[in-house]
Amino acid sequence: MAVTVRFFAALRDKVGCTSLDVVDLPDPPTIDALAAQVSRRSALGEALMQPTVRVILNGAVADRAALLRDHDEVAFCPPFSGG
Amino acid sequence: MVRCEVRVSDAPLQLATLLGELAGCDPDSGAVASFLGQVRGGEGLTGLELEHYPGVTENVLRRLAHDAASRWSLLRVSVAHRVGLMSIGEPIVFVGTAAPHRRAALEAVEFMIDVLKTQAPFWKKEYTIKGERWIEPRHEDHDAASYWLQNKD
Repeated sequence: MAVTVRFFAALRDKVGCTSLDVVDLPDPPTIDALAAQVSRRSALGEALMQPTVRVILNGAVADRAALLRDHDEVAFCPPFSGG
Repeated sequence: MVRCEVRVSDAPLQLATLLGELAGCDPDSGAVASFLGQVRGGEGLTGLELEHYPGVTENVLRRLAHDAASRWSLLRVSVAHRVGLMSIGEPIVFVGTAAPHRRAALEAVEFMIDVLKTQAPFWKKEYTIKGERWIEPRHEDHDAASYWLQNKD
């Protein structure tokens, strides 16, 4: 199983890349567990675990408890500031 | 079905075209309302950069436009948002509606701009004489969006 993780804005600057492919997913493969795993392996610290971080799964805002499936795209997003 | 036009582009907004598409778009339209957001200068600002999530941002804006059309009696909706680098004074976002009556046209515009500010995947970076920083939404922006999202009548 593999998922693509994308980062935007300040989180992208912090992690140093726009996306990465994760093939060794945690068990159970929840978004929250993935966030913790990615955080441990990078310079992100607590940044991904902040409640203000929005998660977009396959184009829709998702709950952190959601289970990931093969070929999913998960985006970790700082608070939106449009308009 | 109400025609909803959504554009996200790194090209300057064509204001005359956007307004022109709404004005006179339908013989039943008695009102056209719009909002234009621009890059506000001051506090050493030298420029602004807007980032988005290609594909997802457009879908969110389309859904927002259709939500507006289902809550108010509208004839046409137009949303256009810039991305990329912008200078002070440049238009960032245009939200417009055409409707039989003005109350619906005006309220739908206010709903869409209030909601998109915190619910649509865009991120603003300010460039100033002191450096650059990503902008966080203000409490007022969240309150404005909450007002519309909680009062669905």
